[in-house]
Amino acid sequence: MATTVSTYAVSNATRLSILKMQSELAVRQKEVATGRLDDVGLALGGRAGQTVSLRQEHARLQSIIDSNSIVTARLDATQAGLGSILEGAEAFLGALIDARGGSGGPGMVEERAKAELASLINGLNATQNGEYLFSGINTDVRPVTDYFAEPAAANKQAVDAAFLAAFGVAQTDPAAADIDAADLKAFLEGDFADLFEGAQWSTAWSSASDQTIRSRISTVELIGSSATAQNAAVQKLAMTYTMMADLGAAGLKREAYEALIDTAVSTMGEAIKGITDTRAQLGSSQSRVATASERMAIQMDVLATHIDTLEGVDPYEASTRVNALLTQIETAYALTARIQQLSLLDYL
Amino acid sequence: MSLTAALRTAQSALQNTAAQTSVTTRNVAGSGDPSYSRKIALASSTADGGAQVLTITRAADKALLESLTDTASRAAAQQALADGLNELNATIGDPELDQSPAALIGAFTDSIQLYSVSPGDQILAQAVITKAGGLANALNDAARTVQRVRQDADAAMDAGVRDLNGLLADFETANKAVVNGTRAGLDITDSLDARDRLMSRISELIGINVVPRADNDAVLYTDSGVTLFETSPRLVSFQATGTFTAGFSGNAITVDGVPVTGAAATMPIRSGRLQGLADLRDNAAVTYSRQLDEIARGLIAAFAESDQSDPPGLPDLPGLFTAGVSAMPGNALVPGLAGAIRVNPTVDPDQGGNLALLRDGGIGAPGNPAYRYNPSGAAGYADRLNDYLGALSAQRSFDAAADVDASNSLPGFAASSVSWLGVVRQNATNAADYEQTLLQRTSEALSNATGVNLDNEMSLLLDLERSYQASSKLIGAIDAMFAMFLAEVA
Repeated sequence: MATTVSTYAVSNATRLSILKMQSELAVRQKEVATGRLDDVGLALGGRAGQTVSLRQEHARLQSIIDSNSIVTARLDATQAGLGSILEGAEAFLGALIDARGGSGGPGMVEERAKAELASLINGLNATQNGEYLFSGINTDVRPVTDYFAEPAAANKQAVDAAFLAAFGVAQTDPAAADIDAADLKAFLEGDFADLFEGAQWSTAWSSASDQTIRSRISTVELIGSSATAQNAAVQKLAMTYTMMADLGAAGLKREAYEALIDTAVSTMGEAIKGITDTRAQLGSSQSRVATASERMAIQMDVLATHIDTLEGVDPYEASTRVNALLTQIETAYALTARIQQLSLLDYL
Repeated sequence: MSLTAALRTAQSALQNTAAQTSVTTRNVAGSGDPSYSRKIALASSTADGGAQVLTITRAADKALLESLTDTASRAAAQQALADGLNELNATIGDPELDQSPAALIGAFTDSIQLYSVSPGDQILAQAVITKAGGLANALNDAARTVQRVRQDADAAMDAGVRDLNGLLADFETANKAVVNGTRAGLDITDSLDARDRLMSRISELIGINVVPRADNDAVLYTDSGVTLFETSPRLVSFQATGTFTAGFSGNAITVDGVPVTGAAATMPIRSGRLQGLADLRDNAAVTYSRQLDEIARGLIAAFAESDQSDPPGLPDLPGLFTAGVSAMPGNALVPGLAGAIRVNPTVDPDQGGNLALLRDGGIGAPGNPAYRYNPSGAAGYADRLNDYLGALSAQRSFDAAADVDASNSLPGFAASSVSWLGVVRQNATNAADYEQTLLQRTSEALSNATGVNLDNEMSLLLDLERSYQASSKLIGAIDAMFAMFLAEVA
């Protein structure tokens, strides 16, 4: 315990403590104004990395939610496209059944089939955002060849060639009326069906890829987020329409025409079932995306709270501290002034 | 006892009073100087009770002074380290600004995420390349900053050693003055003050132990035991380095030929500014630069491309991120990788590259079909991009020399690096604050024990005035008595 006091120590002590309080005041003021710690790394020390990680995680979830909106848009457009294709198919099936029953001439059914085929090809070639929806991963390539293009498209040529090879005459030739029902059925189930499968389909009809786009919809989930024309249901649909549109149905004899319609009806049934299955799959993908986005939004809120706990400053505590410091500094100023006035020299 | 004797005593009393007044004056003059110690004039009587002898001593507290020099050393060391670490912290900044390598890795990953859902979108592909470029640049900048901090520490060590040599030369002068003065019986109090002042300044630069010898001689050792001053100063030498690169360690400070800093030092100093700077240059900054290098290595490894043929025969090549060489870095730390990492020019359109390689693979060897992940070139191929996302969050092992996790994901490692810097910075700053406060308290205590109190000096002066008055009156009285006697006789 010092029994002596030096003049230098007395004046220095108050000066140093005032300096210290002033620098703390500056820090606290900043904390009150921003609501966050002034120097996060210094205050948190070893947990500074935690807050960086939390912020990263928050940003990542936000970016996945953003990319999910693109995935959702694509799925929605695909679903809508398939929806209208399905409607057209069901209506056509109804027309076929009527035609089997006798109402509606072959010429009308043929015209309708041509219209439906054109609309199917258009629907399959739909784009969104510069990407073809039904191309699988070949998003920059038109999936389906236009059957009605001029000069004759590859798919039309293939059908014409197959018909000629099977019966020796073209579809529009009046001699086609002599074609037997059994022969026609064999052709439809054999060579004609082959045109819509495997390598012949990929060469003449479709440039789509077998693979669909796989997208990450959450930190752990990867789903297929597009459809492709390389689909058995699409093939059967194309086959049915072409069958009715371009095999000279109007010129066939009655039994052959009935055989044609029978085959068309059964194929169309399979096609509709296939399209419905595809729509169901896409629907489940859509709901998975929506659920993932919701879940991530909740997670983001939790993360934001955590970040605030780590980096935030209680505004009441901070402003109380500021007020206390201001009072302390004022007192120190007053004391310094009084002490400096105390001197024996004044009384000598 | 005669009148003459009385006269002589009164005369010596006057002289002593005058001397004591001059001591008081010296004290008043030095009252504002923190390193000035209060001079005390001790008056004592001679054996025959006649003349008085005056000795001048100074108020001193050896224990407090020692404590002060030790604390000053430690405070200087911690402050040097804390200042350097604050500069390193600029590479991370406030977490809200998202400028740290960890945050930039996150932003880059997010851009890949967005691109992966529309792999045909060229604009999103360009965004990925831009973010990758930003990340590589940030790592380059951070590596440069670390080397600059080391450079500055090295330059400060050079300046410090120069100062130290100057101070030791001055110490020699002051010490000689003290020793010679002691031998001659002179008033050495001012020389002692000067020597103490020099000791304080030396202790700020390097931790010292003071050992007293006969005749008030002092020997200085560093706190690790190397002789710094013994009758004459020992040479403190240091070779500054021009430019620093990763993996290059600077030179050590040698005292009297013995290295006292660095890994090879057998008697390393433990405090003082020079020790703090050496610790910053050789330990803290080096460890942080290793962490940056490991982050760079992790990036290059995550984006490496492997032979897609079956069976694979060719080696892995660096893909999106490369260090400029065609071989992949191995499993150990590669110093300087953070300064060398950049986006591969074969995929950067600004450098004549092809953006599609990002999606299709083949960045490492554009012409070689073995490295093509997307042989059909389909625009919607997202598998490679999804692989990138997986690789960025996969666990990988890191070199233990980086002093952080041995095994973690790349973003986790980068975040741990932020934590490491936070801990080291917090420790150094808290230690510096504590030592600074302790220094102030000790300095105050020393000043109270050995400093000047103006009011005390003023009241002593009053005493001296009275004493002088009394002695003068005595002389006057004796003179009157002599005059009376001579008047009777004559």
